[in-house]
Amino acid sequence: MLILKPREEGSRLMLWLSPFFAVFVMWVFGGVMFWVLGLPVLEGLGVFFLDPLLSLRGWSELLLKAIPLALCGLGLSFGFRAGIWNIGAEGQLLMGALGGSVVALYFYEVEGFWVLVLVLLGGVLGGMLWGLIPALLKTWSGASEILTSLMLTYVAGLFLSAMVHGPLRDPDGYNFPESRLFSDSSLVPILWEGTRLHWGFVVMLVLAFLLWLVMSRHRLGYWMNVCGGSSRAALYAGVDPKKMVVISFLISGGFAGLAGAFEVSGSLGQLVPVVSPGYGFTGIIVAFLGGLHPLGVVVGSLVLSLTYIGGENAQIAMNMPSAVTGVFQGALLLFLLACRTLESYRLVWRR
Amino acid sequence: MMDSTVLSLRGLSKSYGAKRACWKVDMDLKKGCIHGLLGENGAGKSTLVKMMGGVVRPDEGEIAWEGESVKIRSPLEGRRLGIGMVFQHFSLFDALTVSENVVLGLPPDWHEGEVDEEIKRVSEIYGLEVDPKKDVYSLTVGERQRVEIVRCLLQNPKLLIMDEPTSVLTPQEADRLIEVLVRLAGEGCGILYISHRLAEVEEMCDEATIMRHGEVVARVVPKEEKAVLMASKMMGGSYEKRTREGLVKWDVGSDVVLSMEGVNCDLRPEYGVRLRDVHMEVRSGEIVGIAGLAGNGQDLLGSVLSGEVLLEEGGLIKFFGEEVGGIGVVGRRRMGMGYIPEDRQGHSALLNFDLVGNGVLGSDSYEGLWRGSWLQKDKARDFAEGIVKEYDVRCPGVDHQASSLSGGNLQKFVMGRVLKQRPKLVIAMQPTWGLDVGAASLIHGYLIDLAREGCGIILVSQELDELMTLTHRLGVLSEGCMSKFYPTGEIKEEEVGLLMGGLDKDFAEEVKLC
Amino acid sequence: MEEILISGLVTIVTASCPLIFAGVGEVVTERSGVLNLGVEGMMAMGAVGGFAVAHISGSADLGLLASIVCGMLLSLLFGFFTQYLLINQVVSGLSLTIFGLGLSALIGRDFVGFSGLGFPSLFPDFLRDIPVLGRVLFDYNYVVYLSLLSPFLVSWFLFKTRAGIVVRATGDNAEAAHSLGIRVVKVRMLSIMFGGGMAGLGGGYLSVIYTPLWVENMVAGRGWVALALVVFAAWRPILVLWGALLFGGIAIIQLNVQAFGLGIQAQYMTMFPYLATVLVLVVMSKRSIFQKSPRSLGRLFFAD
Repeated sequence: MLILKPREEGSRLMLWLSPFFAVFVMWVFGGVMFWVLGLPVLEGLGVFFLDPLLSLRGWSELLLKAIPLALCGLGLSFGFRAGIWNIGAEGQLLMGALGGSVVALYFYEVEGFWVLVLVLLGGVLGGMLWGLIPALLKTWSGASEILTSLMLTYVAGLFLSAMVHGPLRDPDGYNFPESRLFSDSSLVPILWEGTRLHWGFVVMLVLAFLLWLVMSRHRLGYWMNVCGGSSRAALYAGVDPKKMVVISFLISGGFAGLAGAFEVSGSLGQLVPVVSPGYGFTGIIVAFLGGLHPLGVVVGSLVLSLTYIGGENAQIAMNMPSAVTGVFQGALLLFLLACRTLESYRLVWRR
Repeated sequence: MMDSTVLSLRGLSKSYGAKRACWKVDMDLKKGCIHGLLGENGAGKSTLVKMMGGVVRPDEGEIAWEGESVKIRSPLEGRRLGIGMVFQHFSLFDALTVSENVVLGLPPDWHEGEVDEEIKRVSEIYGLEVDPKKDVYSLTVGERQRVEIVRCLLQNPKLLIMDEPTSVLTPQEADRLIEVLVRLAGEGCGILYISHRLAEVEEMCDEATIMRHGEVVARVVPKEEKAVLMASKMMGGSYEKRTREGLVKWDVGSDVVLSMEGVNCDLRPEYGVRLRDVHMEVRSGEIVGIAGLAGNGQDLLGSVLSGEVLLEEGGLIKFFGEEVGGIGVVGRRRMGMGYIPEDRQGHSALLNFDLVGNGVLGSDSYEGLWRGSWLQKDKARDFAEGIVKEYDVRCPGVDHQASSLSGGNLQKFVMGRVLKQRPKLVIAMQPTWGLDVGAASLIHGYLIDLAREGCGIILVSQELDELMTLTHRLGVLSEGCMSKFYPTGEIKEEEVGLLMGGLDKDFAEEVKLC
Repeated sequence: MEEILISGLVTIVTASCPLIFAGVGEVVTERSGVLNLGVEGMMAMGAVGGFAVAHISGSADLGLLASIVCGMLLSLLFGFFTQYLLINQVVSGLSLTIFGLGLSALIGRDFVGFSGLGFPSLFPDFLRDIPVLGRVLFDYNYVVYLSLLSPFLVSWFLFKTRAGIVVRATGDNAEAAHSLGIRVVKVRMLSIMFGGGMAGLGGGYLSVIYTPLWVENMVAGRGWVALALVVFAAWRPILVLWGALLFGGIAIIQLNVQAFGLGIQAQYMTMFPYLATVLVLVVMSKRSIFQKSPRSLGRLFFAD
């Protein structure tokens, strides 16, 4: 039978190839799924993965959705490298959206570029503070950050909903659960005229570059990698694991919070009850698809963004269920993990 | 005579990769006879025993059980034949009760209720009191071993294999165990007794086999042989001994680089053994050796010396007269302490890092690698390449992962990394463990050069040859206690062997006289 | 007032039922040394599979059976990933949840808007007609009784049978188990499947009996609460029962407070169970005496 044998050295070739394998297998899987659903296979795949790339509008939307995905994925990849599992990025994103909105609504009548800066900082702060809770609980009591960060995501969603239904509701909005539309000074300027793509994309790219610098050059990045490699080596290097937990949650929370602020002040222009279709969770997939490397994460965010856009397209064009997007995303992660096995193991035939 | 043979081995061999763990071992174990198996750590005893018990499959050779050729493919089959094993590690389940632990070693038709009765019966007969209802984690080491033995005895074994049974026992417990074994042998059970404690083997074994480097080097009748002679055979006798005469002599300085005074540290169960009242002193240019069998507190000693573990329970560690017990590993490194841990795979090096990354690991006192908090990539690269060049590390390039290096080359790299930081003291834990002769002698050369330049060195090792040739003074760590330090030229290998075996010092003195 | 108390008690029991199933199943999985974070996904699959089959076949029993099968199938995937492909259990569990949630939404889209089936009662009318007691004790679906019984059965299995000892031994020290001739991977696969089946049943109970209907995301974090319950219960099935009832109680208090309309926004009350989960996790983790997680939990086992 086929068995796995550990490789001597992790295969870099497989590290690079595995995301491509995974995407390919996802297509095959998608074809089978469409066939089972009774949909035309090739047309379905075409509408899903090709059509968005054939129009400029498609591209602009693709890049727009990639902003929150990439930001979440970037922040998460940092902690994941050290084996710190923040899976509550969705909650941190929502709190970021809330933080940004509070600032935007507070300075509703004030003008000036610094208002937008404050809005974004409000978002970062909101995400960081929300991320700090599971981190501190972990360092103080040892409670699993996986479970606490996830529980707090539900809490964040409900809190945001309470705010939109309550204090932040538009006084002139006929009781609709929405905030008033932000004034121009808290809106992110458009990057590409005629589309919705805003400057957040550039900010995201700059942050990705900075994060790459930190990961590859800064002491923090080095410590993260050592922690992820072995706890005894971390001891040898004199790294404080508790400090690492707090830092990585601050970073991933801040990034997710910024993603949330960009959603309300960029794409949406106001605070609504549903800010994100699960960008924070999809960010986990983005982080792994990108091999926990900032450049890879940016590319990965485009792939996952495509599944969102393609899903919307297919829903309109072919009446395809919107849930297909979620299946594609989940399947992609599974296939990716399976392919990544080949990075550290080789398949050997043994009787 | 043939009738009384329970188990016989002919030409049993097992290799792991290129390393021969056992090579053409012959052995006969008889009913009612206690057979001792002696050898240093890594001599192949454990592998041999695992093959007998069906845990590991031999590459070659034959096993015969009561005269018939058999293949033992799993521990279950071994047990069915009537082989009972008491392992040194990995055999009890902490979270389960005593009777649950025992039940798992028995055939499935046993019931827990019956087992309680049986445990009580057997433990009364042999005086091995255990409470079947207790959880194993709450038991002392001695009690745990009783559980293992009772588990074996319930299987009515014809052959009982005991791997280093007394290494974890107090002398009183050990005495009682020996009584039980003698009694069992009297009832006709064959016993294979693996040990490094010469006195025990001498006292109770009817015959003994001595192994070295995977091969049988001698078969003796312990009661007729002197302990000293057995020790010398176990340690390789004189034929493999390198001499100190070939070494260039240098003078030990007068500065005290490091001193430990009354250090106590108890971090069980993380570290299996606690340090008790350890004293030590290292001068500049001096190589101080610490001998001892594995698991006698070396791990913790290394952690305490390096600063990975801070002192909390009292005692002093002074570095050039300054108290450093509360300073962490980075701080001590910056003061000039270098540390080479035993484990190269995930402690002193990370296998999934490339050599550049591994070069940075723990290089806190090397100037220029970091500017502020930013890594100077080209400097780090130069640093790693410098190590590779200066310390003769054979590797495909510094961009390759450490896992692609052989053990010897990785150790040279680690060594070079520490030495390039110009330490004033180096703590080297088993630096040549698992290395071939060439790499080992290179490592030795580096240590000698370092000492000649005035650096103090603490060399912790299980290899007596190494300690005897390299060190100025020598102490033995046994169960967390440090012996006196002897000038290396004035103590014989046999005496160290006896100290390692836990014999008291008076007896060692006695042996020295004869 | 009496009515409120009675319906309160009844709701506590019925609301805790899925948590008991999922929690008890996960206890077995974790006792064998495997951390499966995919409970939420397996519950979602169980819910949708159960509802679909019940709806199509017209038999609620078949639906529940299908929910078990769905949970098990998904857990098999997890087992294959972690036991054979040797992939990190945390990541595998997360991806299982993401995949399960997505797939359940896809399958379930055809079943949104239907309502479930009625269930025949287990006890004769005269028992159910007893005032108060009749409703508190005899008016549940048989699955509820099964859920109340399951912690005791599993507890008996884990602590009184040889197979249970084998499971616990594997989770305590996989290497030792291997050296005693226990087939570690097999034991773990079976434990994973049991956990999957139970999580599926918990989900099936939600959609087939409790609500009874299918809506997307109807599991609403119960899988994660079940995972927290396992920690809360210190890996003991019977404590899972009490923990689940406690959470059921919290849920009911929250619903009643909402009904009374105390002027607190509904969202704050809905938060309560999640916050309680966090609180419980912190308290239980802080008091390390209670924490006796299986020693091999989450570690990969590779027998050469």
